[in-house]
Amino acid sequence: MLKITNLSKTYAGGVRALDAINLTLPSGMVGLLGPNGAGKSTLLRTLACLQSPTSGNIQFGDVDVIKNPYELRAQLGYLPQYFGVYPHMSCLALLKHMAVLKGITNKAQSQQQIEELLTLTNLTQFAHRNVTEFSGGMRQRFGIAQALLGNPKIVIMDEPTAGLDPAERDRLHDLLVSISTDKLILLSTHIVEDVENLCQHVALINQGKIVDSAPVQALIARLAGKLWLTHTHPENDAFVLSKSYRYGQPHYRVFAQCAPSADAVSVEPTLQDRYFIEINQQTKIANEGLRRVS
Amino acid sequence: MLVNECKYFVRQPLVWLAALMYLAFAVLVSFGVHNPDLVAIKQFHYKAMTLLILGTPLLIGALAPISFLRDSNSNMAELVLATPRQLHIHQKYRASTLLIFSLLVGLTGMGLCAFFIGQQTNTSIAQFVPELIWDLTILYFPSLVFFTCAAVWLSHRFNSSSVVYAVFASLWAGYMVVASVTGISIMAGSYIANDSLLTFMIWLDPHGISAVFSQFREGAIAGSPTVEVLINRGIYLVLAAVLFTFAIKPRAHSSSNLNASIFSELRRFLRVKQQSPKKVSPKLTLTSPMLSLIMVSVKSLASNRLNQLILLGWFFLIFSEVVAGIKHVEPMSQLIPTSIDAWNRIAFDIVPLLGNTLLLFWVWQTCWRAKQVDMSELIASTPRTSMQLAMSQLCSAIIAVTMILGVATIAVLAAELHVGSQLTAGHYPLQLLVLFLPLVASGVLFVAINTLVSNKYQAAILSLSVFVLKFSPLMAQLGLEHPLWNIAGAPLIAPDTVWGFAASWSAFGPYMLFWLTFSTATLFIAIVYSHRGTGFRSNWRQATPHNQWLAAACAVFCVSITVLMHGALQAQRPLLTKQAQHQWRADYEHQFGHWQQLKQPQATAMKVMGDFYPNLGAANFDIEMTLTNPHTVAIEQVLIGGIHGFEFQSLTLENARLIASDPRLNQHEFKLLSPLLPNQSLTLTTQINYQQPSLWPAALHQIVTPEFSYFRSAPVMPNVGFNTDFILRNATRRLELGLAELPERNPSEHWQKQTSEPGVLKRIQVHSVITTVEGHKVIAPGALVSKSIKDERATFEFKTQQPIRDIAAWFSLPYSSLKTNSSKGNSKSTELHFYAPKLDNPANLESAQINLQGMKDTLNWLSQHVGAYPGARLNMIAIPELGATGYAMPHTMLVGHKVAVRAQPLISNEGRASFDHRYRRAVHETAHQWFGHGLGNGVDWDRTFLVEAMAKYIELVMLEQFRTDAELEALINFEYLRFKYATSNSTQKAVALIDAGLRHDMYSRATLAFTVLREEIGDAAIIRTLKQLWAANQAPNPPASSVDFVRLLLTHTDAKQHALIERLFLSNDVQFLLEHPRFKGIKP
Repeated sequence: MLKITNLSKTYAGGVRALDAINLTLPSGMVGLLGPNGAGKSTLLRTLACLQSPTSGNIQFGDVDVIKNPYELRAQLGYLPQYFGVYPHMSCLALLKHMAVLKGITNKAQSQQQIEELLTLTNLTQFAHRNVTEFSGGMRQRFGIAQALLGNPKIVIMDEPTAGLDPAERDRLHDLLVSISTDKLILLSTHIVEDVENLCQHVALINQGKIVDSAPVQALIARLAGKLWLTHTHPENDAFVLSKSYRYGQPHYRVFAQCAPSADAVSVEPTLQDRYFIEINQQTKIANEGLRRVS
Repeated sequence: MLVNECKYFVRQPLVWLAALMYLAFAVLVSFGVHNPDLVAIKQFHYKAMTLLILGTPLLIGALAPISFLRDSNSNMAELVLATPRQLHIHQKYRASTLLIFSLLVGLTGMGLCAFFIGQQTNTSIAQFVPELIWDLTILYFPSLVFFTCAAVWLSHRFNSSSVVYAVFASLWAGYMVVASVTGISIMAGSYIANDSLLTFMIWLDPHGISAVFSQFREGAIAGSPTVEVLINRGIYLVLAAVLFTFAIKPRAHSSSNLNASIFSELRRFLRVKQQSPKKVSPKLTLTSPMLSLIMVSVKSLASNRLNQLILLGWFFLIFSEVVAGIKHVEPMSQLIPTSIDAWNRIAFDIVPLLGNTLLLFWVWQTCWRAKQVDMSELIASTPRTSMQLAMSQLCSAIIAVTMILGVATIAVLAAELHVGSQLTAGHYPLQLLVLFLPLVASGVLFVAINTLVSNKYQAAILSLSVFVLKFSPLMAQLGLEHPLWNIAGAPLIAPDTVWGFAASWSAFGPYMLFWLTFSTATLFIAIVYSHRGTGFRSNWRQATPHNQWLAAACAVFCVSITVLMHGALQAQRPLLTKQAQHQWRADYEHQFGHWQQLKQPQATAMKVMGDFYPNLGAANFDIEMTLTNPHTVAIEQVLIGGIHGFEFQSLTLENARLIASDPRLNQHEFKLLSPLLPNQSLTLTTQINYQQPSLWPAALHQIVTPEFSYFRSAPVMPNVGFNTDFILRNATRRLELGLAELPERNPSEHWQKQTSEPGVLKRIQVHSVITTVEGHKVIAPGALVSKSIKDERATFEFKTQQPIRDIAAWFSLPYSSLKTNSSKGNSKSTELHFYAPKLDNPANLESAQINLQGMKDTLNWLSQHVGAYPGARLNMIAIPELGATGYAMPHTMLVGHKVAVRAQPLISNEGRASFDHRYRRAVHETAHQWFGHGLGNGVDWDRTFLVEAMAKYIELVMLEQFRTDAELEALINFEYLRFKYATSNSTQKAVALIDAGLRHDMYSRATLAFTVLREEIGDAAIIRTLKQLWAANQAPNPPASSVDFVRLLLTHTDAKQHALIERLFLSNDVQFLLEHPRFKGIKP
C-alpha cells in the first residue's frame, strides 16, 4: 500500500535524520518502533508531506507522493506528536473547521462524521467547550478525532496514546483496530506493548535507518528458544535485554543461544525483546566503533 | 548568578540584532553634520538625546520578553519555578542584566556619536567625555532603570509578549507626539502647544530631556543638573523601585490588593480566560475551505483583545490628529476645513506608516498563527493547496486593511462632524482608494515573505526590512535615491481644493499596477516554495517542474517589470543619485571651468513663441535670444549649456559653427565665424519641447496640466558661458572629487577686508507670443499687448517695457483675475492682477481684495520712496499646494492658494492681537520686485540680506502705514518668539545678519533688527539709503550688495548710531536682540 524507496532527509545543520530508507507497508495497523531521536517523527512528517525529503520516493497506492502531495493529503489523517489548537474555538467549531479543510463540504455528512467521532472519542459532552480548556487527554482525543475526519485512507499517528488514561487508551485501541480494515494506520510509538497489541506489521527504525520490517510474528519468531529469564546477571557474553524488579528482586531477560545461568528459564519472546535487541545491537556497534577509534 | 544570566543573554540572536540596529541608528543620526560652524557639544547632546528617546524604549521593549518572559514563552516556567531560587532573585538578576546591557549599548551609541561628530566638526573626542558622562548618568541611567522596571512589572502582570511590545511601542509613539508639542526640537516641526503641558513635562518627562531643552531655550549649550532635572530623575528612580517591588511581590499576597485596581481590570481584559470554562457556541457553518480559513483568521484577529485595544487607540489617534490641526494653516491663520483638509492630516503620514505597521504585525500574526498554537501540522496535512492557504491569509490581510481604513474613515468623519468641516462625500472614496491599494500591495508582499520564509523571526526581520526601506531615509543616506524604494507606494502629493489629486494622479495608476503585479508575482513564487505554515524548510524538489518553471518565469517577470519601470522613470526624468549629481557637477567644472575666465556675451533680449497644450500635458517654445557683448574685448568662442537630461530640440547660433558638444553634460561650444565686437549682438535660436511626466508628480517650476500650467525659463533655457549654479559647494565632496577649495566669501569678510568682487547685472527684455486652449488665460512678463482667438486657440502677446532680471515665466490658467490699478498719483499706473479659482465665492473674493490691497500699498509706497516699479503690470497667482507659500519672479508672484485665499486671520480667544498673513505675504512678495529682482542679485558672494531681510523691513513699514499698530506688534511678537525658539534649538553658531542663511535669521531676526533700528534712527535714513542704492543699482553699474547697503547706511546716519548698525547687521550677537528692552514682556 505504501512504498518508500531510498528516502533520505538531511537537515540544514547536516544532521542526517533519514538514511536511504526502503520500506513497503501493507494496509492495516502498522507500528513504527524506535527510540528517541531514531527519525520516527521525521519519517512521519515526510510521509505527511509536511517536509520534503532530500532524496527518495514515496508511493501510496497509485499516488507518487512527492510529485502529488495533495493527492495524498486528500486521503490522509494526521496526528502529530505535539499539537496545539486555536484559542477561542470550541471543539465542535474546530472540528467543523478541520472538516471543511479536509474537503467535507456536505454539511450533513460533516455533521454526521463529527458526531460519530465525538462519540468515539468520548467528547460529545465537551463539544461546546473551548479546546484550549481541555485536559491533556481530552486534547489528545480531539487530535485523534480530527485525524479521522474524512474517512482517510492513510492515518499517521505519532504517539497517539500519550496522555491518555488506561481506559481511554483501550478505547482508542478499539477504535483503531475497528477502522483499520481497509486503510493503513501508521502508528509511531515507543510503547512497544501498544504496537504488539495492535499491529500486524512493524517497522523498526534506529539512527535514521530501517532495521527490520515484517509482521510481528515473523519478527518475534526469530527469537524463539533464545530468551531466558534469570535472577542473576549473566557473566558470559549473553545479551541482557532488560532488567526489571519484582518484589525487590532483579529479573534479567537475556538473549542467549543456551541458558545463561543455572536458574535461567526459557520464556516466550515478545516484540519488546526484539526491540531491545535491535537498540542494544546498534548501541554496541556504535560503542565498538568508538572504542576502535580511540 | 549575574554571570549566568549574562551568558544566557549574549547567546540570544535577538540581543545582538537589537544592539546592532541601535548602533546602526546611532551612526545614522551622527551624520549630516558637515557644517563646521556647528556647536559640536550641543550637537552631541542632541544626538545623545535622540538616541535616548527614539532608541532605548524600543531596545528595552524588544528585549524585555526574552529577559522576563522567556520561561513561559519557552514552556520552561515550571522547570524554572521548581528550582529553589525565589522569583524576586530571578527578576533582580534578569533586570540587572538587561540594565547593564542597555547601558553598555547606550554608552557605545553615544561613543559612536561623539566619534562621528568629532570627525565632522574637527573636535577632539576628549571634549565630549564630560558631556557623555553627564548624559549617561543624569539622563540614560534613570530612564533605563525606569523602563527596565516597567518591563519587569508589565511582564509579571500580563505575562504576554504582545502586551509588552504594544505598551512599549505606545510609550515610544506617545512620547513622540508629546515631544512634538512641547518644543523638543528633535522632532521635526515641534512647537510649544501648551505651557501647562510643558511645565508638566519638565517635571515628569520620563527621559528628563524637557528640562534640558528648557535650559537650551535659555541659551545653554549643554544641560546642567538643575532642581527640575534632579527631581525629575529622582521621581523616575523611585517609580522604578515601586514598580519593581510590585512586580516581585508573590501573586497570592498581592492579588487581594490589586484586584480592585484598574491594572487588574486591564489584565483580566487582556488575558485569555483559561480558568473559567464556558460554552462557546459553534458558529462556523461555512462549507468553503477558503472561507473557513479566512473566517478563522479574521475571527482570531478581531477577537484578540490586544487588537481590539489597538483599533480603539487607532480611532482616537486619527480623531485627535484630525481635530487638532484640521483648521490650521499657519500661526495666527485658520481656514474653514473640508474633507480634503481632514484626510490630509493623516493620509500621507500616519495612515501609511502606522497602517503598514499594523498590517505587518497582523499578517505576521495570521501567517504564523497555526504555528504559534502548534496547529500548523494539522492544517498543513489537510488537502488544502498552498495557494488556498496563502490566499486565505491574503484575504485576511485585505480584511485587516479594510478594518484599518474603516476605523480611520469613521474617525475622520467623526472629527469632521465635531469641528463642523464641510463634508465632501466624493473625496472619501477617492482618498480611500489611494490608501487601500498601496496597503493591499504591502499586504501581498508581507504574505509572500511569511509564506516563503520558513523561520518566523527571519520572516519578521525581512518584513521589517521592507518597512525600513519604505519609510526610512536609509537609501537616500547611502546615496541610492530611487522612487521604487517606496515599496508598494506611489509618489502621491496631498490633494488640495484647487486641483484635487491632479499633481500626481497620473503616477498612481502605473505605480499601483507595477506594485500589485510585482507583489502578486512574488506571492506566486512564495506559494510554490511555501512552508505551508509549518516552518519546515522547503526545497526545490517540493515543487513540480511545471511550478518551478512558473516560479522562474515569475522571478524573471519581476525583474523585467522592475527594469521596465526604472527605464520608464529614467526616460521621463533622469534619475541621478546624490553621488552622481556631485560627479556630474565635478565633471562640468573640470571640463568647462576654464570658461569662467573667458569673456562671454550676455542675453539681453528674448523672443518666445510658445504653445501650451494643457489637456495633452505638453508645451513647446521657440526661442530667439539676443546675445550682446558687454565687454570691451571681442569674443571668439561661446559656450551654450543646459541642465542634465533636458535636451534642446535645436540649437543654432548665428554666425557660428558648433565645434564641440558634450551630450552628457549638455554643453555646446561654438566658434564664431567672425569675432563678436563690443556691443555687437547675435541671435541664439533654440526650441524646447516639454512633456509633463506621467510617472512623476508635478513639481515646481515646470508644470503643464489642464488645471494649472506654468513654465519657468530657469533652469531649462540655454545658459551662456560657465554656469556658476552648477558649482559643487560641498567642501568635502569637492576635495574627494579633485576640485579646488572654494574661497570663503562671506559678505562680512568683504566688509572686514574692505574688499569687493563686483558682480554682473543680468537684465533682459522679454517678448512673448503664447497660445493656449480657448478659455485659458496666459500670463507672461510685461504688459499684455494683444490677444486673439482663432481655431479654438487663444493667443496672447506680452512685452516688457524695461529690461527685467533674467528670469521669465509663462502661465496658462483656467481661472481669471481680480484687477486693480496702482495709485493715480503715480505717473505711470500699473495694472495689478490677482489670479485665483472661484473668485465668485465671497470668501475668495475678500481674500483676493486683501492680497490686491497689499500689492497696491507696497507698490505705491516703494515706487514713491525707493524707485519706480519697472513694469506696466504685476501679477499674483494663487497656485495649488506644491510646497511654496510665496515665490516671486519679475512681474509675477506665486502664492499658495491655501495661505493666500482660503486662510482667514485667527481670532484669539484671549483677544490677543493678530495680523493678516494674506496682507503680509502680499506685501512681502511684492517687495521682492525691488528686493530680489531689483536689488539683491548679480553678486555671487552675497547672501539673502538684500532680498529677505529688506522684504521683512517693508512688512514692518506697510503694517505700520496701512494697517494697525496692533498688527505691527503682533508681527513683531510672532517673529520674536519664532526667533527665540529657533535660536534655543539651533545647533549652529550665530553669524552676522548679512551672512545669514537660516530661515529664523533671514526672516525673524531681520524683523527684530529692523524694529530696533527703526526705533533708534527712524525710517528716513533707511529710505534715503535704499533710494540711493536703487539708483546706483542700474546698468552699466555693478550690482549692489548687502555690504554696500551697510556702508551707505552709515553715511546717512550719525556716528553714534554706527555701533548699533554694526551690531545689528555685522555682529553675531543675537542675545542683544533677545534681551533688548523693546521686546521685553513678549510672552508666547
